[in-house]
Amino acid sequence: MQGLDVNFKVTEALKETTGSTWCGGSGYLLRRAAVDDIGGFPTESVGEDMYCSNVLLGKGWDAIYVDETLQSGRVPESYKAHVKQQGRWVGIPA
Amino acid sequence: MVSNTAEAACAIEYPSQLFRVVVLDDSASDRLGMDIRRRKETHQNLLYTARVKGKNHDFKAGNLNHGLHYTDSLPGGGAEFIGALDADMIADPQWLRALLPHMLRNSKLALAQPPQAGTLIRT
Repeated sequence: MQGLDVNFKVTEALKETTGSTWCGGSGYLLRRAAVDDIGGFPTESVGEDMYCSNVLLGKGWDAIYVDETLQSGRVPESYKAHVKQQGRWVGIPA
Repeated sequence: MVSNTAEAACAIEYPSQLFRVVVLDDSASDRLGMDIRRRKETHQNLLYTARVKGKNHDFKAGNLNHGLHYTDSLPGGGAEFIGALDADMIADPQWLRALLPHMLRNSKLALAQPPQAGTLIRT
């Protein structure tokens, strides 16, 4: 249930080929000048990572998905926590 | 947990005088603040800030924007590049060295995003 392999290896890789990489919330590197260009981290959506990357792309900046394992973290340990996380990813505040 | 993340971030293979690790504590935990400040003895580039949250705190984006203001106020000002790690994300030692060259190659690159590997750690 928490395997993000499909998300990253298939979906993100596909999106990379169309230049529409999404910021995944953690582990990313940003150019400060680009963040300034969009007025800082956008606050309009609770899913701030995806929203931020969409705003950047909309303003003509590039984004890439780097297919190397560079971070590892914990996954939610209960069904309830998993639902809460997925809800947050579609814009429902926790 | 956050302390482990901070330690791993400090341990990346990159000259310590060239990057800062800033813990953005949105829970303003005294305990975490004290723990991070203690670790500063080992890691001079480790910093801690806890913003004062008003009614419209804008969740994580608000905290990240606070991080920008905070680093802007430091000697030397804000950095050219910003990396972000969630509280439970342990960075690989190669993390920054693997991402930075992409930024240097393409001046129009705003974002370099690696995948997240999940490990279930039962506490």
